[in-house]
Amino acid sequence: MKLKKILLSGGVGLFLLSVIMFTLTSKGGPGGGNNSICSAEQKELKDASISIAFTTPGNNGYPGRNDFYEFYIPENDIRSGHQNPASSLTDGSTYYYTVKVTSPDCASVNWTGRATSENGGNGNMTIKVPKGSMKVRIRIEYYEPCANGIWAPFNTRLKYIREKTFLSTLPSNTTETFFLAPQSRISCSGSGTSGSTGGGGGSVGELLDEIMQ
Amino acid sequence: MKLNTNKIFDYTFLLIILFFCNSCNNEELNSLNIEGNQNKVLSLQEYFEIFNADYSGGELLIESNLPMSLPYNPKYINVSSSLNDLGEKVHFSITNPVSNESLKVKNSNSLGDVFGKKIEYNIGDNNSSKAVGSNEVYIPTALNVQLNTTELRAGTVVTWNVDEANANGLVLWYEYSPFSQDKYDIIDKNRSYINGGLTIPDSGGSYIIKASDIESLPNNSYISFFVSRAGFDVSQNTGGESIALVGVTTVSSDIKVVNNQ
Repeated sequence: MKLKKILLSGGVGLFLLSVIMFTLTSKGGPGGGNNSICSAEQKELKDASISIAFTTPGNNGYPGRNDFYEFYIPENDIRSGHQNPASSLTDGSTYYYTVKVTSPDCASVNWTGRATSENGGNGNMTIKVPKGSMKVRIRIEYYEPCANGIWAPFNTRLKYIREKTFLSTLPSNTTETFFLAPQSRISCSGSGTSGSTGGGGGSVGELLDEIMQ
Repeated sequence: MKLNTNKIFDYTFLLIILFFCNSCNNEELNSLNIEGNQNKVLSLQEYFEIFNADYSGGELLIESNLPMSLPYNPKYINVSSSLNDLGEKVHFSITNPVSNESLKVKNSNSLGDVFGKKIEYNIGDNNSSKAVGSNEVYIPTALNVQLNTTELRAGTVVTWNVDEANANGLVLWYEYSPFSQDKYDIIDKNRSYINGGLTIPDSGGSYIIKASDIESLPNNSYISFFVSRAGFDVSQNTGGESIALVGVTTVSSDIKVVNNQ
């Protein structure tokens, strides 16, 4: 038993390594193919409600702001009255965010949702989580509108992330609140006007819709 | 909005085992830069025991997860676990390694004291206040990570605060998401999540990114880059159920990849 404990304790790095090695071999469309280890029951998803809000910044405010704008949150944003998120990052005129749900316990639990005016536009979003009791990891990535140079350097935007692991799935009858943590300021180099098109003539939003099918 | 599961990576423990079982001749595996932990390779049976352990007795996850852009905070915690769930089956009693006082597990900021310390914890069934077991586990020091470039490319130097007591090594890993890109062409050509990484010994304090480390990533794409290390222990309660205590420290950055090939 002692040996087993030592092996278990020492094995976490190898566990992480093995996760990495597994996922690396999965590049470009992992699949892995072994979703059969999850029972049909485990693969079932249900609705859950989440609420997203900004953290109260510390004394220095939000990172990357220009002087006198340290505590400023640029509109449009998830606060009340601004319910039109962008359909992709190519639209820098408004905010954009995604929610990703996975489970370490079941590979088949992989759901990504993108905020729309109907779902998530005010910071409240219905997401999909496992029906059964299992660990659930939720990752939210939120992007501000691109800055015009007034509150932050021109053509940059602040990205927020909140990632949380739950030891059992979220209940359907309560709302879990996530507070966004400022992550980094990124370039808006690829952002243009709403509905930017690509080589195929479709918009990026349409392409992401297609990926989510 | 459900994603096609065939396009998504898997994190299932058993799949990892199956992967190891089936990939002995896998060229991609052989080409990995596995510089650490080579003296700690476990047998497949041992892997099986680890990853198929049933933590039905409860699990406590103490996590520090900070963006690279924020100041280093060695005591910051983000207890990811919903500890209420844990409380239904078991209670942990952890002694603060700094003050020698009992730590309140639930949402206690003082849990940040456990990073960089060997901690003792007691386990008890919830229907009894009496401890039924006691164990020790080392939780590595909270990571402080920096990059010397604003883009991730071959030659980028990753530096971190070494924890010589951490025998589990350091994990450098990344994730590309099509939903986090701002260019149509990149999304169109790379519609699935891409994950990868490597482990290195927790020594030296720096690592130079090789071209092969990031070769699977689209040029000019934005990725999330993570550095992690962890401590881990598994015990059993009186009912024979396994109980896990995990302490993880992670630092992450969202960064553009320059991968000219």
